Order: sequence, then structure tokens, then C-alpha cells
Amino acid sequence: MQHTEPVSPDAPDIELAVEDAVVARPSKSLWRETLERLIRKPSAIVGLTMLGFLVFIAVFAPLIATHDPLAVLLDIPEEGVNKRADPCIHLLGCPSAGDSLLGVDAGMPVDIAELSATNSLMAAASGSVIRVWEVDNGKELFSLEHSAPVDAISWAPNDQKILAVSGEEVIVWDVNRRTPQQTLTLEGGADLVLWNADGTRFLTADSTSVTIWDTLSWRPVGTIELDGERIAAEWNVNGTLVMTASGNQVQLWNAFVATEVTSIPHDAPITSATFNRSSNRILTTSGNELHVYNTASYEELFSAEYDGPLDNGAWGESISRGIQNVLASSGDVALMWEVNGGDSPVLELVHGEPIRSIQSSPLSTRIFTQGEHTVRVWDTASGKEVVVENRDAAVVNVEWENNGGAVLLASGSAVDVVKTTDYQYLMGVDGNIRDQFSRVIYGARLSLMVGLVTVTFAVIIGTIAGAIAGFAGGWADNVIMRIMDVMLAFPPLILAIAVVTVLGPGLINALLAISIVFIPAYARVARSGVLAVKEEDFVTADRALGVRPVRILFRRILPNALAPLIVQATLGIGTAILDAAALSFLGLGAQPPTPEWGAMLGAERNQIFTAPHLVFYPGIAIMITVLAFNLLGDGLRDALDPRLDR
Amino acid sequence: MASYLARRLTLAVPVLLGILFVTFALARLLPGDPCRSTLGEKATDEICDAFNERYGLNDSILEQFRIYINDVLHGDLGESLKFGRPVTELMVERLPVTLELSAFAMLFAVLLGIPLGIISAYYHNSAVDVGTMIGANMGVSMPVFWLGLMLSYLFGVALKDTPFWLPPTGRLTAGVSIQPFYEAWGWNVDGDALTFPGFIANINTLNAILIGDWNGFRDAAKHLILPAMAVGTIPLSIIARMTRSSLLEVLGLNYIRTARAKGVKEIGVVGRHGLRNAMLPVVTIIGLSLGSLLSGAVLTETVFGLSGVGRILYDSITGRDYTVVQAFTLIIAVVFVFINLIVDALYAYLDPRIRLE
Amino acid sequence: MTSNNKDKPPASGNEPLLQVRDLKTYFFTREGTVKAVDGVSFTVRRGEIRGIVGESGCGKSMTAMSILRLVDKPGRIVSGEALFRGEDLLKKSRREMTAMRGQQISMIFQEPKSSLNPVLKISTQLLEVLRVHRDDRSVPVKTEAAVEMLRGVGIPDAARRVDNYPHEMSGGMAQRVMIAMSMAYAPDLLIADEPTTALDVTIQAQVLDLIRKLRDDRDMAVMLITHDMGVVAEMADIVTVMYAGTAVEEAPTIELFEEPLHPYTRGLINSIPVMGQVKDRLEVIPGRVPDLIDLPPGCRFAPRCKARIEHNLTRCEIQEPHLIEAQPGHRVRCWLYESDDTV
Repeated sequence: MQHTEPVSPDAPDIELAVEDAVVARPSKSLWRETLERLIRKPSAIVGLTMLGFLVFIAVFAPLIATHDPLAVLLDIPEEGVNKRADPCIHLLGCPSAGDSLLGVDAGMPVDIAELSATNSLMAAASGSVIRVWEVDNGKELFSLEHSAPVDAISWAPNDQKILAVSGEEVIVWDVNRRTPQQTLTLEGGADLVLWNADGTRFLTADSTSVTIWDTLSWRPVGTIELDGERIAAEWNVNGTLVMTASGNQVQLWNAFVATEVTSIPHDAPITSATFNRSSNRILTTSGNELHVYNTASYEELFSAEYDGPLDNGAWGESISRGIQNVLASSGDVALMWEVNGGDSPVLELVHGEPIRSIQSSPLSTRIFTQGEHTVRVWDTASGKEVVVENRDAAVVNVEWENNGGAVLLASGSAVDVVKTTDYQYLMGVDGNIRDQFSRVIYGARLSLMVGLVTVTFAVIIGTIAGAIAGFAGGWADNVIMRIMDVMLAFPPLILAIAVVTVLGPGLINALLAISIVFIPAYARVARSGVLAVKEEDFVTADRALGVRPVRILFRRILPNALAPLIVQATLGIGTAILDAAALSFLGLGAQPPTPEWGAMLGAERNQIFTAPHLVFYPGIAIMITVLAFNLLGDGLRDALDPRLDR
Repeated sequence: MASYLARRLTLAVPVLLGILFVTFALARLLPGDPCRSTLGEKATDEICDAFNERYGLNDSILEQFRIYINDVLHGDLGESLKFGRPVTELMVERLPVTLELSAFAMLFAVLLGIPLGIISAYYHNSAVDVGTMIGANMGVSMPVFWLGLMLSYLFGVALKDTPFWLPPTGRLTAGVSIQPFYEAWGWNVDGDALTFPGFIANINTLNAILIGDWNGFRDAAKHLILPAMAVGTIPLSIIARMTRSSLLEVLGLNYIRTARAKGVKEIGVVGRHGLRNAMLPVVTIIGLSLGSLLSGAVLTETVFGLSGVGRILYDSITGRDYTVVQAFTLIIAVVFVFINLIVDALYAYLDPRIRLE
Repeated sequence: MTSNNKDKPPASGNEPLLQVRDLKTYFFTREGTVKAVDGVSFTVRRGEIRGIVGESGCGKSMTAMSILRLVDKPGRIVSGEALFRGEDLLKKSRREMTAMRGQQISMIFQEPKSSLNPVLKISTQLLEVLRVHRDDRSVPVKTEAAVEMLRGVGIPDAARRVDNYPHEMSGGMAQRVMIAMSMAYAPDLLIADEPTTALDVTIQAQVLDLIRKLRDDRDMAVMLITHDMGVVAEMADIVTVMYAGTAVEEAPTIELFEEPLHPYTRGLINSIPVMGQVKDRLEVIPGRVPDLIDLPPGCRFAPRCKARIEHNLTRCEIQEPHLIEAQPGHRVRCWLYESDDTV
């Protein structure tokens, strides 16, 4: 109407007068322009960087992760690992091999020191007093007074009782009440007291006899008289046999009646004898020889000879790795043989002073050798020395911690726990003794996969539904959009929970549920996009030219409705990851032991007060991932819709 | 306005029917034979026939759906297998906890989110703005249960022995109890949790206010701070972002320029002209974020040891107690629909263009 | 060159009301400094309608916004002064300025409907002007006042109209409301920023008539900003032509149309279609307005200037010309009229 009006022409936007008469179709340069605008957005740059970082982590997870995410660390073998251990990074002052984890001073020279069976407590006897500390923090819990000097102590398998031999008495202390539960009389006293593995019996021994006691009646079952000086007395693993060594023979006794089962004679006087962990083998040293016997058939399985007298025989086993080593000392040299290997030692370690005892760590990755004043810890694989501890006073006792990461060392009045490994766990160790860092790293794969798969599925279905609704209109539009309305009436997560509960828990079902729940969002976006473009001139022109509707839909309309879909999809990935994590947290998504962040959070949620790092890191990982997609989505929205640009 | 609301209401009817159908259909889609999955694998055919007869499983699907709708309209949502009680009872009994938590969380989100959004928009690109937006972006990106866990560790353990310590679990400190208001008022009523007075008395903070027990109120409110913060953070972030962007857009509009040219002071420009218009999308988003609030409650009630509706749902999920999940889904969806109706009404009240349509 | 106002033939023979001198308003964006207004000077006298004309984006609206100090970030008034009745508006405190707006200087805008708050009633918005400027806060403002204001701008059925919302009104009606609002305190100066651009032609004429009538009744000054040479010809007493942030020509309206001096002004006038005159096509100024971040070093119009080529001028692209008085009361910024010795 204004064209015909001569008095007041339209704005003299003079440069517009000639060109630009044709309706512009989006071209390739639109994408380039969008990209250019995108990389000018700080949020998009941050998002893209974070995303690149995450993709890098996901792709190179096997190289970045320090461990297999599913492997239990004690199996591979890594010693010194605690369930739910704290994160530890060397640069931040993580204790390394040789550092003292704990040092307590008993005030008086310590005669005997012993870790409790679960390693949570330790006891040290000096004179007639037994002191008990907590191993975690070195806090002294209590002390037990006796009338005579304490000669021997033994912890019950459940840490609830301490047996102490003091003069001619055996006192059974109740650790919780800190009072004697029983006081038993023992003529002649004893220099050894030992619980069996299930706490139903214990034995006491002096130089020539061994007495077996029953803890129901607190009476002796029987007494074994040895034919010479006692070299060893030991329980088998299930408490049915007692092994003794004296003179030239090793004897096995029935623990219920104290009668001899068998005896194994040797050529020379025995210097040491010990069961292996499963008690199916016995190691003995006598003279220059070392023997391994089967305890069922009494056959000799292995023997070795050395050019010096052998003593201090010890086992080093790691069953899962199929390793069975035997250790012995000769003077100041520690020796190690493989039971299934040849008869020459695989390791010869020079300790420097006469060796008093050798012990292998539970998984046989380390051994220590104890002399008068020096304790050395060696790596069994390389034969290298890991730790040297020198003491002015004589070393009283050295003992491995159960997890093989430290030794207890008592000398003079001091009792120390010395770390022997320096593995680092960046994010700590989870409740199943798996490396949290590796699990978090592998989790990136899963989360990115979850986000992409669900959103791709939802986008495809949603776009098709929305495009049909928008393009066809009429009843098809009505039916489709009403269904979408109903789905949108549910909060997404709640609907997803309901769907997974029907389908059954599992990662695939969770993915399916989340995809279904997100369909309406894309359908709506696609529909409104289609509706907006449908009336554009170039589409009208195509229609007028008789282009087939399907072709118009795919070639003309959808590409133009794409921008809002891309934005919605990018933002949707973040939400999908969050919802998948939530389902896994509830136990509906990824099942253990899958390293999925939500599932990892769910598994350790009850440990929040004791091991917060196990909850912290997976959550941070989720947040970073979702944040990356959200920032990118925000940036994309601004880039694709310059109107919102501010 | 009345006609507008009437139209909205009629539009909600098919959606409500659809919701009913979805929840009904989900239950029928449960894998396996409903009889054997309820009574065990060893149930004989005769027993199953009787079972199907009794629960109407032999009827046609449409007839079953009709019965289901009828049951729901009469407040019968089925019986929980795990708890062995009607689901309606369970829900009503636990609802006060969730209601209280949601209200506090929403209060937290709105009272903090809107001012933050306003400040960010007005001091656009300032440090406050950038800080708020980074915070809000992080807020919407965190898993709510994780935030709950971290908050309970931070305030319950790490800040122990400081004045900032807050109780990480439970509704009241052990030993503290708040007298039900009907007892205090000398009403002679049955204080069962299913009656109305019992329901109200179960909302600790409200009950404490009613009888003026301020120590009790403080204790109950203290226990609510952490869960409310955890559940409220996502809505808070959404509200702050929406307020900011909406106000930013409005502040760039022509009538704001007019107001300034009229000589209206800045506070009036932002308050009278900017906010009133900027609140329109914020109201919508508040309604929508109630959905994430309720989802959040499901995920966080267990974290904070609150035994609300979310806790039942959690237990039902782990116990595969499908009736409860179904009922909960239905209730939440219906509540959600009605909240959106309220939002529509509010919208109409705020915007004359819709009111007079 | 800004001091010789007295030489100008007075349009309505009154003392200067507003003197703008060397006003500079820049926008500091990430891409660079946009010199939206770059050294503009002019005078508005009481009772006069001063036209400011130019293409969109030449800084004419920003000049008006600068006078009212309504420039939003990242824009800033860098230098210059705007003497309103002898007092510099740019030196006033925020509070004084707020009190001034709507009371002594009013402004109406291009899109009247979007310039009214959609959620408030017309009466509320009208009365707000009275409310914010009244001296005694305790005196209530009455709805009748709003009705009176609407009657003043000739809105029929004013008593009913005050209860309307903006979306219930036509554009012309809304612009009348805007004018009523701006007239509430009988301001000395009305700034009308493209008041008729968005309106239908018949309504345009009515609104312009209204403005002229109000000017005559109240002896106020009007600063009429437009891109429409037709509106200028019809309304203005004296015209400033702006191009790329500066004034390029200033003359009484009749003189400007009879003898435009600046090549740009000539281009503008030639691009008006004239009734009864058959042209093959309207004349078009080639090229486009320069980027206000990277201004050409010499005359800003030089890249598009035909005259420069016709007269073979070399310094146009090197040195910027000054606004000189080429004829009495007719000033122009062009090397065509500036002799070497004035440099």
C-alpha cells in the first residue's frame, strides 16, 4: 500500500532498493557463520574444551586409567591397599615406602608386640603390663596389669579377647570390658600361646610340652610331651591339627584328643617347620636342607640344598597368581625358592647381620628380613631392597599387616608401623578394593555413550513424530501431540522410574526409558520448527511446483528446523546423563560392577561420612560432563539465534 | 478470565485421562503372569483362575480400565505388596514430610533465585552476574542426590564443632518432640496420621507454629535446611537463570525506555515495569521446576533419612513393589497437571493480554 | 564554529532553549568503539520545530537519547555539553536528571504500542507521570486527571479508554496516549523520535497535526527526529541533516529544500518520489553507510559522493571538512564550499 503513496515513501534504506529480491535459502555459509559465532562465546569455548577433554579421556581410558576398573586390587596383586582407602597423591605428601604410618612409645622396653587379627588394634607387653593401641590413629585404648611379667600373648581371631601368659597363669582378657574373663592355672608357665583360626581352642607351650585348651569349658584337652626341645608348634588352618617340631622329627597331632596322627622324620635336627596358608603343605629346614611335604599323603614335594645351614623357613604364596615360594635363611643370607621350580634359589639376599626371621607379605610381593638391629624389606619380583630400618635397641618383633602394605616393628620402647609400598590411588579405593580413579575414567565412556545414545534415539523418534504432526496437520497432528502432552504431564525422571520398574532394572532398559521420556520434547521442537518453515516462501514455491511432500519435508523443511533441534539435543544430553545417573543411583540403571558414575555413587552412599571421596569424585565427574553439554548447548542457542545474543 | 480458565480446565481432562491410561498400561505391561509373580511360581492353575477372577484380570482391557478409573476416583490406588497396606494410606501418612520438604525447598529457591536473577540482570556482566551464572550453570548440572550427600558431609561432619554444623539426618533431634497442636488446643480428636488433624500435626514446622513452640520449630527447621538446599538447588538455578534472562530481555524493551523518559526512578523502572513483565516466564518455570523438585525429593529423602513419600518410592523400587510406583507416578502427574493449571491462572492474572483473550 | 548562533535567522524569533555543543556518544563494544554520535552541535529555540533527518543508524536517535541521558551500556557520552535553559544536562546528577525527564523534557518514540507497558492500564501509566513528579506525595492522583490528559490529545470516549490496556488500542491511539503522557507537565521541549514511522499514512498526518497544534498552544520547542524528508518538509522550521554521526548540513527548511548544498542532502531530496513527476527509477545514493567503528579518514560521505568525482576533489578522502556557514543561516560540511584559507 505504501508503494502507491507518493508523499511519504518508505524508509530510504537506499542500499536495499536493488538487490536481495530473491528469498534467501540457508546455505553452507550459514553453518560457517554459526560456527564463527559459536567460537566467540566464552561459555561455548569452555563447554567445547571440557567436552574435548572428556572425549579424550573416554577414548584413551585404557591408557589413562592406572588399573582395570573391574579388578579387585588385591588380586592383581597390589598390597598395601585398604578398603575405601583415602586418595593419595605423592606430590601432596602421600606416605611412601619407609615412612612411619604410626609410632607409639610404650614408655618401657617392649618384650612382645602383636597386631590383632583384623589389624585394627595392636598390643605390646612390657614387663607385667600390656598396652593396647588403635592402629588407625595410635590412640592408646587401655592397659592390662598383671601380677607377673607377661611371657606370651595372642589375639583372638575376632579381636575380642587377648590371651596372656603371666607366670603360672593364663589370663583371658575381654577386650571390650577390659576385665579378665577367665584365669587359668598353668603349671610351669609357657613361652607360647596361640589361638586357633576360629577361636574355639588355643594352645600353650613351654620348651618341651604343648597343651591344647578348649574355650567352651576352659579346660585342657590334652598335653603333648615332645621328645626334645620345641622348635615349632602351630595350628592348621581349620584348627583340627597341631604341628610340632622337635629333635629330628615333625609331628602332627589330633587337636581334639591330642594324639599323634603321624610323624615325619628328618636326617638332621630340625631348625624350623611351618604350615603354608591352606595347611596342605609343611615346610621344614634341617641342616643344609629344605623340604616341602604334602600333609595329606606325607610325600615330599620339593627339596633343596644349600651350602650352609638353613633356618627360619617361611612360605610366600599368592594363590590367585599360582605362586608358591619358600623362604629360608642361612646366616645373613635370605634365600627364596619356587616350589614348582628348580632347586637353586631364585633370590639370594644379603641382609648384613644374622637373620632372625623372614616373612613374606600376604601376596608374596614383598618379604622382610629381620636381624638384631636392622629390618630390611625386599621386593620379591626384582630382589631390590625397598626399605631399611635401623634401630639402636634390639628388634623384638616384626610382623606384616594383613593387607601387606606395612610392617609392625617393635624395638626398645617404640612400636612403629612402617609403610612398605608406595602405590598411589588418585581418588582412593572403593568398598570392593578397586581403584576409584580408573573407574571414574572408564565411567566417562559410559556416560558419554548414555547421553549420545538416548538423545539420538529420542531425537530420531521425536523428530519423525513432530515432523509428521507439523507437516500433515489435522487429526494426525492432534493425535500425536495429545500423546506427547500426556507424556509431558509426567516429571521425566518419575516416568522413567516407572518405565524401568516395568521393564526391569538394567542399563539398556534405563536407556530405553530415558529415550522414551525425552521424545515429546523433540517432537514439540520439530513440530514448531516445521510449522514455522512450512509457510516460508521457498516451501510454498516448491509446493506450487509440485515437489513431492516427502521430498519437501526432508530437503526443505527439516534442514531449516534443525537449529532448535540441535540446541535442544545438546542440552538434552546433559539431562539424559543426569537422569541415567539417577536411575543407576536408585539401582535401576547400570548394575554392579559396571563403572557407571551414578551406580558408583549409589554403592558408596552410606559411606559418605567415613569415605566422602568415594562419593565426591563420581559426582564431580557427572557435574563436569553435564556442565560441558549445558555450556555448549547455551552457546549453540546463542549462536543459532542471534536475537538472544547479548 | 473465567472462560479462559474453563478452557484450560477442559483441555486438562484428556491429559488426565491419558495419564490414567499410561499408569494403567504400565501395570499391565509388567513382564510375566501377574498371578504367578504375585503368588509365586508354584501357584496352581485353579488358584490363578480364582486370583484373576478376584482382581478382574479376566475382563476385557477396556472394562479393566473402567474399573481402574473408578477405583482411582474413589481414592483406591491398590494395596502395597511390601507394606501390606493400601497405598493411599501409605501416601497420606508420609505426605506431610514430602510436602514440608518441597515447600521449604521451593521457598529457598524462590527467595534466593529471584533476587539473584534480578541483581544479575541489572548489573549485567558484572562480577555478581558472572558468579551467579557460573553457580547456576553448576547448579543445574549436579546430580541432586550427590549434592545432598556432599551437603550432609560438609555440614554434618566437616563443620562439626563449628557454629555452622547442621544435622545431616532425621526430622528432629533425638529427644525433641513437638506436641501435636490438637492436644495443645485441647481438641478431643483422633490423632491418627490419616485424619486431617493428624496430617497437619505431621508437618512439624507448621505444627510448631500452631502451638508456638519456637524451640521445636527451630529444631525442625534446622533439620530441613540441608534437604531443602539439596532439593532446592536445581529450581534455584533455573529460577535465577530465567529471572535474569527474562528481565534482561524486558529491560531492553521500548516501554522501559518510556518509563525512564517519563522520569520514573530506576527502582520503579525495574520494580514496577521490568519485574511485573519479567515474572511471566518465571512463573511458568517455577511451576515446571516443581517436577524436578518432586524427582529430587525421591532421590534425596533417603540420603537425609527422611521417611516421606520419596522414601516409600525408593523402598518400593528396590522391593519391586509395583503398585506403589504406579500410584506414585499417577499422583505426581496429576499434581503436576494441577500445578500447571494454577500457573496458567496466575499467568492470566499477571498478563491482561491473556486474561482478555 | 559552534558559537555563532546569533547570526542565524530566528525561526520563531526566540531565545535558545537547548544548545547542544560537540556532543560525542560512543559505544564501547568488543569489536571496537562505535562512534554513534561524533561531534554534533545545534540549537533548539523556544517555539521552534527542529528537524533532525538522516538514514537509520546515522546517530539521530542516539543524539536524542544522549540529551535525555538515556544511553544504555556499553554506550557512554564521551564529551560535549547540552545546555538546557543555560544549565548543562550532562553535568546534572542522576536525580536531577530523573526529575527533569517527563516534566521539562519529554520524549515520544517510534513504536507507540511497544512503548507502553502491556500489563498496566493506560490510566496507570498516564498517572505515573503525575505520581513521580508531584511535589506533595500525600496528594493522591485521580483517574479524572488521566481522562483529562486523553481528552487533551483528542481521544474520543476518553473516560472508557483509560481503563484499556495497550494491546486494545491502535497504533495511532497509542501514540496519542504517549503524547498525552509527555504533555502532562507542559514540557519546554518535546523530543519526538520518529513519531509517525510505524503508523498508517492518514494517522501520520493526524499525529503530526496534533504535535504542531500542541506546539502552537504551549509555545514549546519540538525536536523532530525522522528519516522522512516528507515529514520534515511538512513540519520543521529548521533542519539538521545528519550522516554517520555528524551534522553535515543545517538550514531553514525552505532553504534546504530549495537549495540543498551537501551532496548527501541532494541525494536524500532526489530520492523522494514526487507526485505527478514520472521518473524511470528513483535516484539512489550508491554504497552504504560506513561502519561506525572504522570511519573513513576524510569526509565520511566521500566513498559514496558523486560530487567529489564530478568536481575532482582530492582532499575529501584525506581530511575531514568543517561545518562552515556557506550562506547566512545555512551551514554545510563539505569541501565544495570550504576554501583553502579556512583550514
